Parts: sequence; structure tokens; C-alpha cells
Amino acid sequence: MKRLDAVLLGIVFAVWGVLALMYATIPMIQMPTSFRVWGLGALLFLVLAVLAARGAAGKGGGD
Amino acid sequence: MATENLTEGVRNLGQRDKRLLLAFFTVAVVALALGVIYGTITAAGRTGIFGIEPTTGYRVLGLHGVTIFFYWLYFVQAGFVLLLATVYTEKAESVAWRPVAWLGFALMLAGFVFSEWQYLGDTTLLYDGNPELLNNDPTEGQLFFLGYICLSVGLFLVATSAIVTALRPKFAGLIESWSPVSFAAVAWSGLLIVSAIAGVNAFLGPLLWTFGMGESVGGGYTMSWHVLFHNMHYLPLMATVVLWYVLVQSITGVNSIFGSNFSKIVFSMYLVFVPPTSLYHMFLEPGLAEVVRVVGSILSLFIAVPTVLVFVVIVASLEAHARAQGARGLFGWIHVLPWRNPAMAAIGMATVNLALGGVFSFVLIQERMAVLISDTFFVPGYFHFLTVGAVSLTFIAMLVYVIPSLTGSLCWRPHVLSRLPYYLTTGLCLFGAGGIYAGYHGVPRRIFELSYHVDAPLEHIDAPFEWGALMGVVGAGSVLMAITLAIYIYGLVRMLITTGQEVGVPVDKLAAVSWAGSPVENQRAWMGPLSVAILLGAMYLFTAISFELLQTLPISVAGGGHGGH
Repeated sequence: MKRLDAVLLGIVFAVWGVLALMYATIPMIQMPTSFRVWGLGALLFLVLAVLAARGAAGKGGGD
Repeated sequence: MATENLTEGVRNLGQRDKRLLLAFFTVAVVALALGVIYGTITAAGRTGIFGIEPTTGYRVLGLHGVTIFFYWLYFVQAGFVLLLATVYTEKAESVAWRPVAWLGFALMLAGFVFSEWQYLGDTTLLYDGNPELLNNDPTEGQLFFLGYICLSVGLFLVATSAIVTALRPKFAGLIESWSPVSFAAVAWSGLLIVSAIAGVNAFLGPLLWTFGMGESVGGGYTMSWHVLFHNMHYLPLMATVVLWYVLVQSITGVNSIFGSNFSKIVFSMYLVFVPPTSLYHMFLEPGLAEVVRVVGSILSLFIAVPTVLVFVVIVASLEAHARAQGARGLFGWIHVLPWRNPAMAAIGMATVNLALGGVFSFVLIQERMAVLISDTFFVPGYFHFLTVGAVSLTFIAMLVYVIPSLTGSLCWRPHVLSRLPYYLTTGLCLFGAGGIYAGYHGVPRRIFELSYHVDAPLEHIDAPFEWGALMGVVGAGSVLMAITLAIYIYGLVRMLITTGQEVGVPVDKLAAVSWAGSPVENQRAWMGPLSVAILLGAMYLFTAISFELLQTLPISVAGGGHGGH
């Protein structure tokens, strides 16, 4: 699977993004400012996923 | 460059890359040596080998934690991610953005000096840097927090350089996908960057406050610290299993029988499980909702899933290949592994120590148990199995392979190095058994004077006899660990400088097997799953024993937050 690198990094983005939103919006968890860390982390892995996908596409990759 | 031969790949690096990597590994060895010295003094003071004034002891304990947990573990990881991204990414050829990596190194080194320098003053901060301890004089934390900020920014830059190194051949159209190790290096670097962000998130506020440029950070610091600390638990463990994967491949020629894609999926699971398993750090917060405690307890069970999966992949792959070579019996395949290789022996004992530390960490992170034993000697008793016995032992094993390949030196006395993991594990078992049992009996974690006072006017109470006896066992283990680590450090320094033929062996001549390409299709591999079953049974057993033990003791609990495990 040529795009596996990008897919896996994309899954990480999705999980981190959802949890960052949960931490930011559910007061019961008591971790509001951790949203900044997990949110920026989600953004980082989104960028990495896009870069990995573009790199694979540049070689003519794909499934 | 992409190679399955670690030593060949490292030797083929250019001189400028070698100098960069040696800079990281040299400072890492210095940090390890200082950390061991501080740890030995702390242990000697705690166990009564010699007397130490409590405030001095507290400072040395702070130095031990800062030096080992932040600087040894992160200088060596910074070197490893750069090395793996360069050596295991096909067509990478060299470290990308090398000046950025050097700038990262300079900032990390400045951070190291600042952090150590702070302890020459009157600071009483431990490695968790709780700002409440500075309320009398915030300036006592200026260099401390400046050091952590420098370390965080430095790590960010080094990890960025590693990611660009792996990405560059993709963008040049030279490769379609990364090797499993290259993918792991990118994931590892990504988590390093997130941890650097968490470091700035936690320490920037206190830094500004100590310079009079901001408000006191108050209770928000605890949560920010927990998020950083959670990542800092995970990073060394992820690094450890990635290095097992690399070293086993190099020593035996064995690749995963599950295929490279499965390895990538498992490595990515580390990242998937990081945020959802962080809740258990909040268990000691008094206002945490019950439903969050329950959900956090359930999620915490997933924390070991990626590590266990990598363990199963490696063990099953080794077992299947060994059986293909003719090994027989449930344990017969273990005997044919090259245990005289220092790295193989280290990996073997690291898995034992990881299992021991893992079992007791699951006892601790249960919501009902955390409040009872988090501030006792149980915690250092169990986590040294992880930080020393699993993580540091694996990192040292990797350095034993990498440093001679970088310097052109020989491997110093491999027959000595291959025995050290067993002595280190023996020391850890004494330290851990004494420390964990002492924790169950209420021996406090960070207090040097074990006698205590009750009521007013103060009535002096001597510590119970069993506390001293148990801490004596801890002391014996500490001495054995310190001696073993001192020999390791001496060997690493010899390999950094020079090792003559009379005491050295070329890394390529270390004991190894070549099982690549063995017909493994019809081979059985039971040990991995069997080990996991035993691990689960041990977790259940020790949890039950812990509850039984604690129910027999007269305990009263006064809740409250603390600075982390």
C-alpha cells in the first residue's frame, strides 16, 4: 500500500483532533489547556500526512 | 541511504553527520554519568549508607531527576532519531537542515548547563518544577525554567531536521514509501515536537513569572505538567521498542514475519493511544468527576497495547526463524540466540525489566490504588525497572553498536558488556522488591529523614524498624546498579575516545546469527502470546496482592494533588 504512511499519519490526526475538541469542550475532564498541546499535535500530524501523501503522489504512487 | 545493516549504514555517513551525532551521544553519556552520580548519592542518603543533610539530599534528588529524565534520555533520543531517519530512509544520504540540528543541539546544551547551574543556588525544585515551591523567591527558578525552555525548543529543531531528512527523498521523487524504521523515526520525531510544544506550554508561564513578567501560574501548572509528563513517559518507551526492532534486525538478520506494513501500523498505534490514555495522571485531583475516573481507568489499560504488540512481533519473528533453523522445544529457540552479544543480552534483560515495571505500573494507575501509594517509595521502586532496566539499558545497547561505528573504534570488552545486563537486573530486583514493599508499608517517596513528628507539642517518632530494613535492601540494589552503570559508562567513554585491540573487538565481529530468508511459513511461534498471557495473569495477581496487603495496614488518606508519578 503506497499511501500507507499518509493514511496512518492521517488517522493520528483524526484521533488527536477529536480528543483535543473533547478536552476543550467538556469541562468535566478538567484538562482544558491540554487542548493547545493535542490540537497543535493534530495539526502537525495533518501536515505530515499531507506531505507524505504528496511525496508518494510525486513518485506516481497510489493504490 | 537505506540499509538493514546498522553498522554499515552508520559507517557510510559523512564526516559532518558523524560529528553531529557524536556531539549528541557525547553529551548524553556525560548526562548519564552525572545522573548516576546524583542517583547514587540520593540512594545512599535515603538508605542510610551515609548521612546527608535533608535539604542537600532534596537538591541532589532534583538534580538526579532533571539530569536523567530530561537530559540523558533526550540527548540520546535526539541523536537516535537523526541517525535512524538518515540511515534507514532510502536515498536520504545525509542529515537534512544540518545547521538547524546543530542549533537544536546548542540550545539543548545551553538548557543542560542552565538546569545544572540552578542547583548551585538555593532552589528546592524537583524535576517536576512545581512553582508553588518558589513562592518565597521566584528568582530561584529562573535558570531552571530557562533550561527546560531551551531544551524544548532545541528538541523541536532537532526533530524537525529528522522529519525533513525522511521527507526529502519523497519530495525528490526518489522513493514512494518509508521503511518501517524510517516511518517510526518520523512518528517518534512528531511526538518529540508535540512534547516540545507541551514543554513550552508548561514552562513558559513559570519562566516569565520568575523574571517578574507574568502572574503566578497556580493550579493550571499541574495539568500542563501532567500532559508533558504523559508524553515523556511514552517517548522513551516508543524509542525502546523501535531500537529493539533495529538491533534485532542487525544482530539476527530477522525481519518481522507479519510484514513491514504491520510494523508501521503498530508504530503508529503509539501515537493513536497517547492522548486518550493521559487521563489517569489526573486521578489525584480531588474535584475530578467519578465518571472521568472510571473512563480514565479503562483507557489506561490501553497504554501498554503498542508495546505489547511490538514485543509479540519481535518475539514471534525470532521464534519462527529460530525454529526454521532447527530449534526445538518451547524454550529451545531462546538458547540459540546470540546472548554473548552485549546488545542481545541487554534486549533480553530489558524485556524482563519492562514486564516487571509494567505489571506494577498497572497496579499504580488504577484509580483506587493511585491515591494510596502514589507518594510512597512504591513509585521509584517500580519505575526504575522501566527507566533504568528497560529504557536506559536499551539506549546503552544501541550506543554500544553506534559509537564504535561512528568513531571507527572497537567495541570495548564485549564479554564484560554482555554480562552487565544480568548484574543490572539483579540490582534492580533488589531495589524494586525492597522499594515496592517499603511503599506498601508507607515509606514516603521524597523525604530523607524518615523519623517523623505527631501532635503539638511535637512528639518525635522513630521510623519503624522494617522501614530501615527494607531501605537497606534498596541500598544494596542501588550499589549494584551504580557499579554496573559505572562500568557501562567507562566502556562508552573508551569507545568515544579509543579502544585498543587488546581490549576491543570490531562491532561486525560481535556474536550474531544470520537467519534472514529462513523458511518460516509453517513454523510455530507460541512464546509471544504465551508471554502476554503470563503478563496479564501477573497484573491480576499483583493487583489482588496489593489490595490484600493494603487492607491489612492501618491507613488514613488525606487527598490532594501532587507533581506526578
